[in-house]
Amino acid sequence: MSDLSTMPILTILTFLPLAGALVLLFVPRQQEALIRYFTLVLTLAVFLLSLPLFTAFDGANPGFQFEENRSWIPSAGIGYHLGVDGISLLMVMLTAFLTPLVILSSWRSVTKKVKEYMIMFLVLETAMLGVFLSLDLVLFYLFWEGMLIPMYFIIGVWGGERRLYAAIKFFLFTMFGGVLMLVAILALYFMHGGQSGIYTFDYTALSQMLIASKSQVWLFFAFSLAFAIKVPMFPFHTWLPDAHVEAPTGGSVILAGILLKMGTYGFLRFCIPFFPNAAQQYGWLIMLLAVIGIIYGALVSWVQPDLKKLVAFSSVSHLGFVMLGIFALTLQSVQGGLIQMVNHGLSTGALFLLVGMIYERRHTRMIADFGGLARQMPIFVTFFLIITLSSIGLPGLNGFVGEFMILLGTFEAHKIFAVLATTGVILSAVYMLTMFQRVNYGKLDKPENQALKDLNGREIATLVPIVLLCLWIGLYPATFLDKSEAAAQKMLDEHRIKLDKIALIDELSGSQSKVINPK
Amino acid sequence: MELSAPLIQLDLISPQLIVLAAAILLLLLPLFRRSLSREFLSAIALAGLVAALVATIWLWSRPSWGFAGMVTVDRFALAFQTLFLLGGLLTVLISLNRVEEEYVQYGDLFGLLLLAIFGLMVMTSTTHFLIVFLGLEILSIALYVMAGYRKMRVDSLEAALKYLLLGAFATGFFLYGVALIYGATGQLEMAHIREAAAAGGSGWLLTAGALLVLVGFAFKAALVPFHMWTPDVYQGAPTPVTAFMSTGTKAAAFAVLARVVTLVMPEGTIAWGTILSILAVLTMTVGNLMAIVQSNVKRMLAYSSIAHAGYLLVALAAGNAAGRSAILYYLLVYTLMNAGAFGVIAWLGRGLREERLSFESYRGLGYRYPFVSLAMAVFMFSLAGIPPTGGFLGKFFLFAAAVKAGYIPLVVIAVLNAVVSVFYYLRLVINLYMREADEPAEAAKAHPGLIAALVIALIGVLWLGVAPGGLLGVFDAAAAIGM
Repeated sequence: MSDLSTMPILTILTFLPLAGALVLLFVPRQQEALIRYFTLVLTLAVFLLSLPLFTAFDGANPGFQFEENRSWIPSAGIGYHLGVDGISLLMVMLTAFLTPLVILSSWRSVTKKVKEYMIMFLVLETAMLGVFLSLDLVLFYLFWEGMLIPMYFIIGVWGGERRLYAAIKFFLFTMFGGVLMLVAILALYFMHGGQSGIYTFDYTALSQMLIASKSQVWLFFAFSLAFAIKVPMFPFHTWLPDAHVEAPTGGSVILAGILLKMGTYGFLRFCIPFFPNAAQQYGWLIMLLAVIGIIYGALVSWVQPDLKKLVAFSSVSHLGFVMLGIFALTLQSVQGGLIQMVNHGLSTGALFLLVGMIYERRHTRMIADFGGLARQMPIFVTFFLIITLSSIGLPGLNGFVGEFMILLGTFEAHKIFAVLATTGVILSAVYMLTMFQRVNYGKLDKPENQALKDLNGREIATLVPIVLLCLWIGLYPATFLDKSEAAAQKMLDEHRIKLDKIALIDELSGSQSKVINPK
Repeated sequence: MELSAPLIQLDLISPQLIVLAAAILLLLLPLFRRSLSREFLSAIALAGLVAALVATIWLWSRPSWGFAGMVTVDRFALAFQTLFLLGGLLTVLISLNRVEEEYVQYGDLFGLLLLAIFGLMVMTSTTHFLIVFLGLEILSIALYVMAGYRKMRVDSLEAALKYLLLGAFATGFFLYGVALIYGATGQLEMAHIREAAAAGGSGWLLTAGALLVLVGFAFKAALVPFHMWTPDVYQGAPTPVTAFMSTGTKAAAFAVLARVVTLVMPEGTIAWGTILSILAVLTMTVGNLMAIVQSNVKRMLAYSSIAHAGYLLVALAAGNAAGRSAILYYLLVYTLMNAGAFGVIAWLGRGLREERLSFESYRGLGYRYPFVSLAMAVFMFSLAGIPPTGGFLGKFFLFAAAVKAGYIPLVVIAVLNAVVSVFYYLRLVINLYMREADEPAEAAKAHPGLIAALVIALIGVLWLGVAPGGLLGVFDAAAAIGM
């Protein structure tokens, strides 16, 4: 691994998919098989490239690793700064892991405009990796907003009936949050310049800045709104069911698996380190919304007749757990939140894949149209069962580890929220098992269902890696927790130190806060 | 008394002279030889523009004054000249795609275009109001004719008449303002006015004069509430002419406004920041809201250009050098993306039988004409300010300048406006890619010149979105008005 330190591994990882997309532009659209194989091989190559990143990553080092820092627009203080730490590593791995599976899952279901579809997914992968790896706020914003374009096309071109509505809603919601964050980024930039004389958008510089707690509040909310819409937290979740239901299977998997994590990642990466006092002061609000999301999402899932909508609302509930864990601000809860981000990506991603597989066969997603599939499709139902159990947090599978750590960590700090959130665990068992029962057990009385074919080799190949990873995290989470522990600890330590320092600044108040004000 | 003749430094105005010579050549040549092809005529126009560009770049390292202070060739002026010449190049290339089915005198068209560019260059490379007026009139008269170029069509004539009437009003406001300023201070040169005002105190005459000058240019830049003519004129004028009007004229108006705001009034005598902020909010919001309800693509782009004037005003309100530098950057991107968008319309909008200007008529073209549709999608995302396009970095710099000056609420309104604008820009993208056509659509074959214009605009927009490189330094140097 010695050459890993000299090679710009993160740049290669990020831009390899984009390079592939450019190549695809020049492949004639009739060559659909070639386009499919090319994309699959390329995304697999990205995944293989990410493996040495994971093994070479030093879990004991809490800082950024494999850093690349070059000047990009020096006169404006914008740099090309990439790096990975314990918080982003798992997200990068998850992105690299899920993308080839999504390509594989679209093998037969996407038959029109294959070339454009594959190009969009490759561009999307670059944007997603860029979001997780950027250590410059403008670079981050570039990927964050740029990511909207491919996803917008994926929903709008290959989506269902109401795809145009869903696509534009997705775009407008996310951009609305994003632009307010941009104003806050600019304000941060001038604050830092005013304080230190150095005008820069660099993450490491800005994260060390001390901002008087009064000025933190609006900045915190500007950032939080962008991320809360993305997560999505209650009550900003209304775009999610539309986007999920209308998106093609691959789009749903990426949306649930990775795009939503950008929101929770943003809270961890920016909101808490940048604005410790505001995060402390308004943490209750975020946790309250998280708990409402957990319970509300679960209740709404319970009554959904549509499988995809059910899974979509269950995301609101699951991500409520992640948000709770992050803002409880204990080591266990934050690490639980991190691992739960991965878990949700795996289990919800797999659920969307499974729903996509029966949708391809039956062209319906209504729970009432199924029943008794266990008899007809035993392999499908086996996978479905494992993923369902993973999603509701059965010990031995991945979901348990994350939820348990979150609840344990939260209980230490905020007992009431932990107790309320626990009801979400029970509710998730209720709605998932009810759904599972209605789809797979009972009489196989619908003639359309009696001719259903079980999963083929390609479909099994799509699901097996996910199931294996679910088991791995469930049985031996240390592999993954070890990578993030030091970074999470450092984040919490710095949070506390910063709180104390800013308390001092606030005491000096008056004169001091005027200096910090950008005017 | 002995009169000393003012120093004549022709080298200072060499770009203007080159453009003027080419314009005269283009106007006269067809009188002697009738059978000149449009390619030949366009070659003369392009050669003139490129030569002027070279002269402009040559002048970059030696900015100075001349003609007894009537001509100011600072880097601010030179940067704007470059913009106009670039806009002119794109317009000539787009025009090659047969402006209309009707018989068109290309010599006249290109000649008038170059005259208009000459006017733009004159009015920006001076701080003397009389010369500004001279340039403005040269520009306007050429544009009145160009707007009515499709003389067999009612809407083109309507456009020309409206533009003429309102343009005359605007000029009237401007002249009246200049007269008041002269009355108050006895000066016509901006820095002299400022000195005189600072010495003798500034009366209401001067303030009223400055505001009238602002109104005059608000008409030209299509700022709300002086924008009423824009949609009709943009819709009726031939598409390449619209492309030119929406970029060149707007840029020049902003150049003069920036000079007026920075130079004319002594510090603290007039609240430019507040006035421009109010105009900015009105212009952005009205432009965007009106653009949403349009069903004609050219009208949509007309209102969109109003909205963009609003974004530019945000940086002008900031009143700092960063703002002027950002305005230059944004105008460069805007010239590329807007001319590009009109270029696409000049191509796809010309169906085999009728003009295609409704959103619906672009259905499903994305897969039939992949290159031109991709270009249009990029221009739309760029106009909406989505990264990684130049439109994003441009807006980023505009808003950064305003945040720097402390106008945070104004910037919040501006970014929310940008979100609103996504709605109508994406409507075109939706029609191109996400809706199927009822019947297979055909567009006429495009001229290679048009394709070249689109390639230049496309590469430029993407390039400015990721690698502004040394340009920022150039614009920063240009932003220091008066050297």
